[in-house]
Amino acid sequence: MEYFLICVLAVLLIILWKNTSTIKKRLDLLETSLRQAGTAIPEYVPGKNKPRKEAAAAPQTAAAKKVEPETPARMTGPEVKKPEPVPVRSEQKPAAPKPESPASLLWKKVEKQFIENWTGIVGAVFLVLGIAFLAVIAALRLTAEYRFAMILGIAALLMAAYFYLRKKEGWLRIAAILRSIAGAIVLFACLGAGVIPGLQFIENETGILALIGAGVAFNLLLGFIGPAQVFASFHVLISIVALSAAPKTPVTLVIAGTVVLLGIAMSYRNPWQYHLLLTLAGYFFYHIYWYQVYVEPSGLALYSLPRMTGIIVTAVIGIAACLVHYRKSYADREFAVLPFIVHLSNWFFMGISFVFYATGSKWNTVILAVAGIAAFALSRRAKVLSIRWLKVTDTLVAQAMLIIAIFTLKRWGAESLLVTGALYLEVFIFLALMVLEKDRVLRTVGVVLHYLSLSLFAVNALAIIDHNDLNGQIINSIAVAVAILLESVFHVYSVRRPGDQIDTVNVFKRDTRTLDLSVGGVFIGALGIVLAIYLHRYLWSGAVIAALLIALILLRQRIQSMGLWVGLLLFAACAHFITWGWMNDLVTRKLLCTAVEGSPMIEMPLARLIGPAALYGAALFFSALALMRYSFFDFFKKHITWPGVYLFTLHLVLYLMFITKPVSTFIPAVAWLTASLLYLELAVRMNPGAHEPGSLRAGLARHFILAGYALIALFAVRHVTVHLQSELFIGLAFGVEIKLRLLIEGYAILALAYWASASIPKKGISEKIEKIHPAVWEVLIVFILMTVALEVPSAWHPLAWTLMAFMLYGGGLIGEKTLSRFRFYSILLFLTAAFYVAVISGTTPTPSARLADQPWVCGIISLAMLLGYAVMYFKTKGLADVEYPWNVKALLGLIAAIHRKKNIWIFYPLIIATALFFYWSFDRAILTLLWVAEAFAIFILSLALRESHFRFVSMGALGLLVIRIIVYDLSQSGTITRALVFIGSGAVMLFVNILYNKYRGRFEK
Amino acid sequence: MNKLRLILTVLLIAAGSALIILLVLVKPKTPLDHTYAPAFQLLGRSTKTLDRALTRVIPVNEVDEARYGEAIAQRYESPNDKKSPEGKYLNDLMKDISGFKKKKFAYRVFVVDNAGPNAFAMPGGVIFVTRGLLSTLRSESELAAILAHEMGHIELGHCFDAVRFELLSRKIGNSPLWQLADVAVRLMLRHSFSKSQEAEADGYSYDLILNTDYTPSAVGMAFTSFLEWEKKEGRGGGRSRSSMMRDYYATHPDTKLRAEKYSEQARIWWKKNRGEKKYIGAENLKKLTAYGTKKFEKEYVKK
Repeated sequence: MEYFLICVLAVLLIILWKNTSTIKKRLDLLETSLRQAGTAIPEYVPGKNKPRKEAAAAPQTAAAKKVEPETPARMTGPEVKKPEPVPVRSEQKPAAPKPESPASLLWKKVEKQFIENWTGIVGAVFLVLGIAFLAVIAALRLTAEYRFAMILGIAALLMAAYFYLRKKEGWLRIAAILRSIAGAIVLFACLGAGVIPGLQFIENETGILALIGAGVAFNLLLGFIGPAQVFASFHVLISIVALSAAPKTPVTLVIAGTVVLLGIAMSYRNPWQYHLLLTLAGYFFYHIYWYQVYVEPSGLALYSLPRMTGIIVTAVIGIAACLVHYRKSYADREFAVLPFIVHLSNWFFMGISFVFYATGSKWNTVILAVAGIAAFALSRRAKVLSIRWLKVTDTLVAQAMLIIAIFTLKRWGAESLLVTGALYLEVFIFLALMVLEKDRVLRTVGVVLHYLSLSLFAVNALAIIDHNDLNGQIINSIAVAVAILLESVFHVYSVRRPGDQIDTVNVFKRDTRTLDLSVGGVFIGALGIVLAIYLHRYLWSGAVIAALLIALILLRQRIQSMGLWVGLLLFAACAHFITWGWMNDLVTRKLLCTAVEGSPMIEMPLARLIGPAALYGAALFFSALALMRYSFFDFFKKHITWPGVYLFTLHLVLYLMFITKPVSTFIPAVAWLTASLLYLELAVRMNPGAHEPGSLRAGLARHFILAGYALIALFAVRHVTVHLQSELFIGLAFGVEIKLRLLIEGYAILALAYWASASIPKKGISEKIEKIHPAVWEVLIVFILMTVALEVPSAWHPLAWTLMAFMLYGGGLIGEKTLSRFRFYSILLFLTAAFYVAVISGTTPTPSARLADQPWVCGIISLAMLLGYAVMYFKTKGLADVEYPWNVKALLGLIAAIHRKKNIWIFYPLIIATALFFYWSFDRAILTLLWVAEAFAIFILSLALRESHFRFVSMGALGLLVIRIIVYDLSQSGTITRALVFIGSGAVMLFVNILYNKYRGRFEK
Repeated sequence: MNKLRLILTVLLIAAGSALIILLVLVKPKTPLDHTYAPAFQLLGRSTKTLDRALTRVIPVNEVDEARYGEAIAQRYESPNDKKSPEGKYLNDLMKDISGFKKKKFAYRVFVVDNAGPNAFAMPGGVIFVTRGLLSTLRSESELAAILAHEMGHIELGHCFDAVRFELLSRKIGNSPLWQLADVAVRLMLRHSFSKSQEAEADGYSYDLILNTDYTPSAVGMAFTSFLEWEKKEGRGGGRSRSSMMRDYYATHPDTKLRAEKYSEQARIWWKKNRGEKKYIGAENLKKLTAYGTKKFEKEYVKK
């Protein structure tokens, strides 16, 4: 016992210390405020300023009220001198008080409530505890009836004290506390008489309930007449606590419900939000306890009395509490956090309580729907009363109930698409109503719910797809189509009301309507994709999807929706992907869907598949064309044609691939190349120069050219990876057979030449294209080189390169303005040919006896041609005035260097190549003779070109050859060979001498 | 000008359309869905040319190669080689074929006990042939085509190019360093042009066969036999797709492509040379008797 008293004392000391700290803080705050106001604060000397008795009762100023101590302890604090009024200077305006947040205000209110009443509450609790202890002590000595009487006597004494003190000035509050204590003691006595061992003397359950009911009634009476909500809450809560100790029966619950209803009724009288919250929470926990102890373990039938009682009592309390806020006293109020929390808590408590009674019955749908509609109707009442927060809260609660009701449709055997569809429609109606009501918060919630429900609908539609279920296919496709229609209507509505910003997101944060991304447009595209996935296996679906795409394209053009543009692009891209995939499946797996006729898939021969597959994919061309044609954007003030052009091109590429590849692997690339010619011609015929840069024609022309390049690139890739491997010959007329690859290469060369020589319009096309386009010539040259390397036998390559060098040089001269760089390329080919002749031609053996197969034959012809090239080079411009359409300084530097030192770059490589060719190709015996001939040729060249250094080289070579004749040929060669070499060399030297003497003048000049 | 251009456009598009129609009518197909091998083969030619040029400037020659071959032959030669029926037959056949050689050393063929069909050439005229090759091929003409292919490697200097630095080292010493140079070239460059060398050797083989009594179809038929063996062994004979990496690192062009190329060339040859008689030699291979030793009349064909 002593320990207990020490504990109580310790608790009281802690409370007193805490209270003193609070007072000190407040005094500090007050001093700070006064200092800020410029008022001198008198020094406080303990004992000097005695507290005056009348201070508590004295009238106070408004300023002092702000720091008025609200607890008895504060009343005993030091006197604070009233501050003198200080003149306020206009230039020293006090800082505006920082507005406090609703949460902060709420906390202050709670704190105020607690501080104002803590002494009463704690006092009452301790008093009851003390009496309880006394009762326990007494219990050891008295009979139960006496104990009951004794406790009631104590309560009576307290009530007497109440009656005495309430009329005394300043004692009303103490009196009220004593009265509440008396009420609690009475309830304790009643409860003890029925259920507490030691105090119990009533065994009859009815009697117990009656006695407890009497105690509860007494407490409720005290709560009703109490001056503050704290007393009301106290009496209601202890009544509930007392009832929780009573036997658990439906009657107990009804009594508890009645108590709570009376507690709620107190909130009707006064706007006691805390009381209402505590009352509802009290009931909530009591009800859970009651349910757990009484209903759940007994395993009662679904519609048994206790369960029904629980449902009805909970519903009545929930409705009663809900209606508390539907009173005019709440009308026209600004949003208040506390009533909102209380209201929401009521819905929460009610919802959780009902969960306990959830039976899984399908009729819950009806109940929930009715409840939802009722809640919605109620929320409209809030609108009439202008209680906006209540309208928002209850509208959302109603919407939640309706959503749950729709989900319970599964209990009626509804399929998931019906459930998600119904949900989508319900949310759509909700959104429509909210849009009409023009409530921004609810409309935003509606928009979010709308897109969530739509996403759920679409995802579910995809999840349940079964291409073998024809009925499901039809129904689901229709459902998706209806959703597209509804979304389109909503989208048009929202886009036409840009000021409302119904479902728009300003992507670029600019104040421009066009750049607002309307989310609905994106969702329309997504739904289109779902529909395409559903239908794509039917041959007619290509046309349907294309028609839908075209309709949406027209709609976008009309309403200028950026969101729909994004959605459209997604839809178009996916529709194409799906179509390509199915076309490929059709022709490669040789499958055809005939689901319309009832059988899912049947295998068919290829020939019968290509036609349907072609028709299937053809429709999408029209959608891409529509995308090109209806591509005007108000915001950009121009046509955006590129998506249409590239989608069309990509579709064309893959369409041709899927349709023609099964027939022959060679066709796709040829078709692409032919298409590129059409693209080019279309671009030229568009005459973009005659139109504005942003016009449809200019846009199309530009992108047609770029797409044409892409087609050429694709041809090149496929040619390399597919055509190059083929060595097939194909029969033409009159029994002539030609290598198929060569035929394609020939056609490609013509097509590339056509492209390269095309006059790209100067106006209306971007500068980039003007820069790129000349490179087609380079592409052509590379392609020809590749073709020659492939198709000409290796032995004849040097001749081929030499001929090409001639052609390029000639081309560079003829097309002086645009193709002068060809002359440089011809030099490269010349050097390649010379190198090949020098190193390869003379060293490549052949088993063939045919003269044409002998590498040296080609070598000699090539050398003669190379010589001709060199002479031509000297006689004409060479590399003078070579220009490039691009900035290639390094290359131009190299060209200039070659031009300056043409002997080194042209003749000497040729001379060396010839010497080496002779060395590798012919017998050593006649080598000297051949080299002497070469030296003679160099001498002739020196005469023809009047270049002395050739003469020096010729003379030097002849000198070395004379040494070789003496040292090598005399010892190694046979007699006849030796004789021939001597004769030949001698004759050549004589000729040199004659010619030199005859044309000496040329060198002297 | 515009009219001329329009006419050209129409003509070109008409030509393209005509080509497409022709393709639709003939329905030609490629052996593989796609392959990068021909492109690598084409690109490899330039590297191969440079590699050959490098050989030309190194002071080693045919005499060095002959010595090298002699050393290899001595290492692998056994007394039974020329006495075994296969060894004798192959060397008899090689003697006939090597009449087309330009290099001055003698060609020798050794039989290797291996079930897979394979043959490979070494510098200095040494050729190894597996027993599996003899059982895989169907006729002597096919065998002759394979031997001619290996001979092509030697004649065209492919084998010589691979050991040129080693040969140089034998001349001037410091062997390990020069051998390392060969290995380095093999590692860095050989992948890029080994397919070109194989294609070159194929071409040599075809040219050689054309100059013999053997049927020009022999080369294509030999590759077809390889394909059948690959298919039977499940070694990718039915492969229809290629990958860039595999095509680059492959030492040989795809057998399907080689088979199609030389079958097609033979078809064209037969078309141009109607009435010609050429030799198959299935019986020769069966009896291991070279064409030069005995000719079977029934082995002559007209197509």
